[in-house]
Amino acid sequence: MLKLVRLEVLLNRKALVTIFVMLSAFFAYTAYRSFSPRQYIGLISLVMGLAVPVAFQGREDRFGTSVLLCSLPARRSDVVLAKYAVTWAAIGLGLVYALALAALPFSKIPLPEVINFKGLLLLLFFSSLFFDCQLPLMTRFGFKGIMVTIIGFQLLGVLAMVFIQLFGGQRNPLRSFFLAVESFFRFFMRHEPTPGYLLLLGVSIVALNAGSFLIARALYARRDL
Amino acid sequence: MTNAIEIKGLRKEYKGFTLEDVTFDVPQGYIMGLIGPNGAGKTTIIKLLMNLIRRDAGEVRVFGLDNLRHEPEVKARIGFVYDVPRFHDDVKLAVIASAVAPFYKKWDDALFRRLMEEFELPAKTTFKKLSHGQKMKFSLALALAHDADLILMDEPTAGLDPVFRFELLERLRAIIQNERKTVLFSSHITTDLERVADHITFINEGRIVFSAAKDEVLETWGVVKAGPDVLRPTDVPGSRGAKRTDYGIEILTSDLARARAELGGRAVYDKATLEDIMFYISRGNGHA
Repeated sequence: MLKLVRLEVLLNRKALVTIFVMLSAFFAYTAYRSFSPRQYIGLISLVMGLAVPVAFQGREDRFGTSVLLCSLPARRSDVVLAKYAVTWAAIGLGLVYALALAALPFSKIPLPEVINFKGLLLLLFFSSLFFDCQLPLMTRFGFKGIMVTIIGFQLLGVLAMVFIQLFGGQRNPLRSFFLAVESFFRFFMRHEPTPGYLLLLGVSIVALNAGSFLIARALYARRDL
Repeated sequence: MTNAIEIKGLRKEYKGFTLEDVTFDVPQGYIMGLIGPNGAGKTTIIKLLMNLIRRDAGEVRVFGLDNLRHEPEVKARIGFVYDVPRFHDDVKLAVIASAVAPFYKKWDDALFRRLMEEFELPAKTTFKKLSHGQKMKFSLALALAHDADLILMDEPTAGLDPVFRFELLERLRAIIQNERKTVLFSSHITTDLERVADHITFINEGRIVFSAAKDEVLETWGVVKAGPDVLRPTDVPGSRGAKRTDYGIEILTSDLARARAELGGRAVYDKATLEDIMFYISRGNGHA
């Protein structure tokens, strides 16, 4: 699997450098302007976690190199594992980069507020919710899968707004669904960092990723190249 | 004779095309040519061998190992050259090689550099700057540098100029001087196969027509020619296809000796070339 990650990085290193250069200014600006440390860290990790696999997968589709990956002496499940590893490495890299920028003199991010175990686990949990939907679709459908996930999430937002406009807050048929989602997020965001809660977060992150990986592996095994 | 590849009852269904009950062996130490018209199923077979597509039924064994259960071990012994070599366009050849090399225990860097020199490929050039022929050479250099026991090539000579085609075929012939090595390559260019292949597997419309030693095929198959209304295809033993011309009828037979013995002076007889066989079976109202 590490050989596959190395191959991905070597073949896409120009794209990786371009992403860093392009996003550095944006990240620095965010560190200067940001009012919420949690949003700052979340945004950068999400942007990096999205930008790197999008760039890599886009190039793989454009050059048709999925055939190269699958003709190497590796199992398809290793190829899928490598894609997950690259995505999580990008999220981790984004996190480290965000912390480094937050430590610079111009930054208005209070570092002690950013670096705490609960905050980091929450970041991984919410990233998992998004990326574990995206990655199986990406491995099965390539770049189109990424677009489907992003557009799908956007459509959900639009749909929610349309329902609110049409029915108002109280009579909205999706009200109970919205309330359930809200209380789900509130539970995780506002809960005291007790050992049980942190354990639940940790187990949820592992379970989400394991489930997503198994789905992605099954989908990729059925993909004809 | 041990087999490098054993394929049994292979099946793959697409919308509008089915590869049906494909069974043949590739003996170790020889060049096997997979021949057939465009769309016959040659690429599908090679993709199934490489597990690039999922088979619906059947079994593929490479050097005695199931190609799915022992996928990494099998692929470590294969040098794969695709019809259109695919690598990241903006990456230098040396970087591509360094990314691919760790996957192969038997990767020989000195051999790779020698092949690059021999093929006149500059390591610092990006892949997109290569011509089609150079891309094919680079792909071949990668395949040979890890001392692959089986070279698998899909339409390697398509789109190449005659000089490089000749060079490539000579290279294939040199590879099998080592009796451990085997080559399977698909092509619809019959002259290439006649030049280098030891065995031929002919595929048409997703089915294997025959798989045999090339010399045996060229010896036993023939074209029977007769004037108008002298012969019908069913009169000719081993008839596999026919074509009507302004002067009469031409019938492809898989048993030239028997046809000659039975029909005597009623017809004239020519040995069939691979091109004849492909033409009559795929276009000449072929029937078994």
